[in-house]
Amino acid sequence: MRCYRCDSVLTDNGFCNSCGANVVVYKRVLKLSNTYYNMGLAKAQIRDLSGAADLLRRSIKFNKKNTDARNLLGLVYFEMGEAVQAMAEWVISKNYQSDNNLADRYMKMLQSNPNRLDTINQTIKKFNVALGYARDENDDLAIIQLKKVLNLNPNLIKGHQLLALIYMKRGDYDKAKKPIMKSLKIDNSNILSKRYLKEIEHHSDRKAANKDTQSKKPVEYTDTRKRFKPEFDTGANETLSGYDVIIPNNGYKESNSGTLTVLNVIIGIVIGVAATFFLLTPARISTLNAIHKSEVLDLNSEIARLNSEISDLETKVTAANDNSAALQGQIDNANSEKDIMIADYEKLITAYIAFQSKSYIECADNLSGISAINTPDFDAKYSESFKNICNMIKDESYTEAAKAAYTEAISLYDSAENVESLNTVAGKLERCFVYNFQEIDYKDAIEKLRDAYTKRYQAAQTEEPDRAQEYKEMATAGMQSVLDRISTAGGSSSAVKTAQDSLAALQAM
Amino acid sequence: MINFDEEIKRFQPSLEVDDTEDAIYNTNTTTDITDVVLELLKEVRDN
Repeated sequence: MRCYRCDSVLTDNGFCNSCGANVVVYKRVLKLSNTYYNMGLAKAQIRDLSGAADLLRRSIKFNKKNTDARNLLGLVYFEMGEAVQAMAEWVISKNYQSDNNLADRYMKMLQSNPNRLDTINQTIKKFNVALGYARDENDDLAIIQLKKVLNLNPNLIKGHQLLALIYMKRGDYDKAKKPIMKSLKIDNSNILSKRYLKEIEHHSDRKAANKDTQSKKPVEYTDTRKRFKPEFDTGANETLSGYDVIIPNNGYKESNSGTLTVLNVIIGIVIGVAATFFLLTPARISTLNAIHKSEVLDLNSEIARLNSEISDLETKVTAANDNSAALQGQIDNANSEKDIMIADYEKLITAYIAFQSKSYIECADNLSGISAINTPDFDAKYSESFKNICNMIKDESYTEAAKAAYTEAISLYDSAENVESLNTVAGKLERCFVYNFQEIDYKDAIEKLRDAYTKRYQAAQTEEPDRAQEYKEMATAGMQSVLDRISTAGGSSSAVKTAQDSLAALQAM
Repeated sequence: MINFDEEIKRFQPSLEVDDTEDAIYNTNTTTDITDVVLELLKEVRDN
């Protein structure tokens, strides 16, 4: 025992030897606390848990730092199935005495097994649910839940008591007795359990009394004996000795009737058939249904799997088709390019042959028909020999072709009166500008071309009125092309002016 | 004769493990007789 003021050890004196504080009352209070602890311990040792808990609580009320009392109270709570309250007491005890405290061991034991702790928590939750069911008068559910709880936590006294109470409510006193006896085995002086047991025993006694009353009724039995009296001639008035045996009348008779036997057999057969029909057939149907259900489920699962496979395959087919279309497109492109390339080579050969035979217009026409001529792709697309031949004959053939076309156009110009001949003249003059206009009198060529366009339009108004407008547009486009070419190629300003005036005149016609 | 409705009121829900903290605080706030005695002694001494 230590002084409340200076924490030094106290002696038998009424004051502290160290600080001189008056410790008479303080010592008495601590002694009372210890006395209650000792009483609680004695009760706990004889399994009077509720009594022990009460005394230990008192001990703590006198001295809240009495860790022995607290630890024992926790142990008692734990034994009663109240794990949370037990934990609380041990934690507080540990708080007051951190070293050499039994609470440490208890808590470690509990915490070292998380499954146990989880089970305890589950049982507590289930007990609370069961209590809710009981309050809502869902007795069946409450009983099921409580049985689960008590299976997991057989020491939960409250659970046993609640189960017994529900059984008693249902009038099932025999069943109620079992959980109450179990609760008393854990806590042999629990007042509530004892009350319930008293009630149960009261009912059992009443039941037994009623049974006795009923068993005494067979006074009629005596009468029965009386009925048999004349047959056996035992003499009703004779006093029975202790060796006399009374054979009760059980009413059993051996059947000797053949008809009755046949009837019994028939009834047996009928019952057998009925039992087969009502008991076995539904079971068989149920089994078959279960088998069919299982088969249907299997088939559904198989169908789902196959559908999934079909879906996958369809996706693959679509992807393959797309791929195939892309490849076909690539093949078509390649074929198209190949055809163009072949056509280009054919044109070059034809142009070369025409060049050799000095047919410069045909040569120039073929060269200008080569797909990539005068384009940036020319160098990359064709072989060196192709480009060499092309370059070798191009300039000379274009120059000579322009000259020849101009000469032919001039020769035809005066005699051209109808659309067809004027088309020929215009076409030849247009070619001059395509090939090489600088080698001819291109200002004159522009004027001639303008006049040819004008005449063709006028002739078309008579010969082909429907196409007159089309010829006008062709003329405008042709002159615009000529203007672009001479402007780009550095033609003389007077020629450019002539082309511009000609274009304006054609647009205005 | 036991009255079920009355009896069922005696049963209170058990504390769950999650409630341990609250249980510790609620239990630990009690003042014991020693506290009272010490308070009285202090008052006597002060006077």
